[in-house]
Amino acid sequence: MKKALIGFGIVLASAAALGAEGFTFYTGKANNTNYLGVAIGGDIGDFLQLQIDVMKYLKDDPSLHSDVPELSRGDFLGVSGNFVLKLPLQLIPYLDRFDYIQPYISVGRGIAAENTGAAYNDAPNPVDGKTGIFNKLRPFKSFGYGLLIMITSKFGLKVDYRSVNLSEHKGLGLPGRKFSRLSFGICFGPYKKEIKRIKK
Amino acid sequence: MKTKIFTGCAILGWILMGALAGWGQDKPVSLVDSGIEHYKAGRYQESLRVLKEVIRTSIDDRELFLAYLYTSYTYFSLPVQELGNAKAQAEKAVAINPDSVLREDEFVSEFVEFYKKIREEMTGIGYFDADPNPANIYLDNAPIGVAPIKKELLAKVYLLRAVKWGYTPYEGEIEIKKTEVTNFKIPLNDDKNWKTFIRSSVIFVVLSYLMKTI
Repeated sequence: MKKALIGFGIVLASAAALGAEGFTFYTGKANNTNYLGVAIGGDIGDFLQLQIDVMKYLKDDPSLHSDVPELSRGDFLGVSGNFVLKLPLQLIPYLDRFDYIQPYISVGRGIAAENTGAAYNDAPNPVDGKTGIFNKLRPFKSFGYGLLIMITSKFGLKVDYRSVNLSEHKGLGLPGRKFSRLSFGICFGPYKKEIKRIKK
Repeated sequence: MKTKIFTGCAILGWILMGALAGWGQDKPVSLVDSGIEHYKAGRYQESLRVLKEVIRTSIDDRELFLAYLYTSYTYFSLPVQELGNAKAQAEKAVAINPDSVLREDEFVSEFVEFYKKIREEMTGIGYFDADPNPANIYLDNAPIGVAPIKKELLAKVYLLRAVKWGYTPYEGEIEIKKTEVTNFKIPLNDDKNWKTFIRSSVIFVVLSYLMKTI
């Protein structure tokens, strides 16, 4: 867990150092509930972007919710670092005018809390007996793809699909689980260079 | 059997006769051609009337160019030359077709010189060289050719767009100045291209592997 936190800290620091640009606010539906999220991304290569993504369920997933606060795991507050590879339509013959449509694929890793309540986090883990939120967090991997359509040079719409794989948590005695999410978002950030104008 | 052969030959003959009849017919004379014919016959006023009608009604660039050109030529050829009108009409012709060069076997040499001078006053030369060549060049969204290319253009500001497969299209404003030759070096290699995409893809795969997401 410490490694995951250190890794996440490095990713955040890198994003800040790179002057990350491009905000996305999104909402969507996971398996059994709705969620909200925000992503901030910045270019680290010509077609490569580093993205920090935070998402949270709006209400508990009914299949994981429990009326006993110590056992309820229906929430999901996840933070992840993702690498996004943009697929350049504008380099393909006859599609040069479609540079405002940007398909992409992404891979990432993150950590998530399944319940942020004190009752859940203060309860000892069933296997290792540890307490505290840092011993309850679950690492996850994500793989996704999507489409970004820039409406203006600085504003666009995004459709994003992601498959999220939560790792097994030995301390909690929980097996890995998987869910997918589809989100729709709005994003801000320049997508191409400004046209050089002649000063008059 | 004989009836079928006879019927077939009759139909074939009818078709051939129709085709031959059409072959001999002249193409319909367009209004602009009619105006030019009037000019060549020395009916200047009639020529001006017809060509002005073309200018008023036509939306075809070729027809408009010829109409302005011959209107200018007619004003130039009147017994009492109307050089002001001739110049105004020639400028409109140049605006439609800036790199037009008049032939001396079609126009009198004085008019060829007159038109050339007007054209030179209104145009400049742009030399477009992309890195790397070749690249399709568009000015104000109209294709002008493939770089490297030298082109005589109206003196004004254009939106240049250079397109080459595998390279991010280049866009920028350029200015063609009167009577000047301007070189435009188009740096396609400076922006994202297929090489940088391959590099990014390799980095992406390596990162995915290191993160154990694939």
